Amino acid sequence: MNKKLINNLLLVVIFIFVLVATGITLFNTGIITTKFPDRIIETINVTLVIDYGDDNFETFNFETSNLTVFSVLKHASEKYKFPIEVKYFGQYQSHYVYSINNKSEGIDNKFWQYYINENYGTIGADLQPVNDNDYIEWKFQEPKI
Amino acid sequence: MIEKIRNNISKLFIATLLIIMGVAGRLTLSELLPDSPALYITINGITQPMFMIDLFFIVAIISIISGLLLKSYYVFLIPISIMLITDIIIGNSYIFLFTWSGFAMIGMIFFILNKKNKLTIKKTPLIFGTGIASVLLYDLWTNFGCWLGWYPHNLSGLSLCYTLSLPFTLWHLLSTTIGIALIVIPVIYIKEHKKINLNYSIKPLEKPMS
Repeated sequence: MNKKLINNLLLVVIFIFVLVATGITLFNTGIITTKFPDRIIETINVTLVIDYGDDNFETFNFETSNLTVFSVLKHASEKYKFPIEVKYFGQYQSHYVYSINNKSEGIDNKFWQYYINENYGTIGADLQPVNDNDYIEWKFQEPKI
Repeated sequence: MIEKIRNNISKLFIATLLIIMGVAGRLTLSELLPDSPALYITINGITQPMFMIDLFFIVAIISIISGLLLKSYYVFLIPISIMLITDIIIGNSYIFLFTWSGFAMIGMIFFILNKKNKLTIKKTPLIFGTGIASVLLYDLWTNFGCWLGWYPHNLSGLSLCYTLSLPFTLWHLLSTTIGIALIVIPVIYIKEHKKINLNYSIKPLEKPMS
């Protein structure tokens, strides 16, 4: 057999071995899991602000046992009777909010974006955990950059 | 000028084809993307799906092929054309400065190595290694742009930015590696065995009368 071919095959085998070994180690240490970590269901107090822009906003302060930014918005929508329109993206395991209280995205290049404790939300709303006394804002604004 | 175009007709044809494929892929395949699998990774106390699935690999593979088959200016022209056309339709933000240049960078890496005859079938591990390295460079560059625009400008913000980008990077590595195996390697093989003629030029059918 060609020496170069053997070397190439050996490299491939070593690479696969390292990959598998790393994967097993990461699974055993809990860094990689097959399900989202369970959170203890608890009742927390949150403040939710819907900022429509032009100094027009609504503030809600309520107790909830929903522990992600999206589920808090959904709970508020049901509790305070304002509609939201969303689309679920399975490839990101998250909902995309494109309308809150009949204010839909796309007007003046503005979209619904969330902030948590004044920090811009950088992951999907379904993946962002919420803790007691967190301050959540949904702002209708132009993209951050 | 017309003579030059005539002599480069095959390259222009390939460039146009690659642009059309890239645009069509970016605009149509997003609905066909599979759901992110039930695998989660926890880094720095943040748990996320292990793979965030996007269409990065389409423009990446096309950038690589343009670097392998065409001249240097095509390496910039093709990925930027694809992104320009699709971003006008889909929309984008200032991050385009980083994503567009990132794809051009991937193509340029392969173009430079190809010029030095480093990318042959016998050096398949080098091809995969170059693919992995260029994807990592792309993600380092574009996430630097994300940090500038979306995160606090401190070390903590930088760390958060790259932690949150990990699922995208893992998907980019996986999808591009598969794309290299299924598309780039066969293209290199076909090119090596001279099945692609990139120097075709149109010759006149009739000779001038003497």
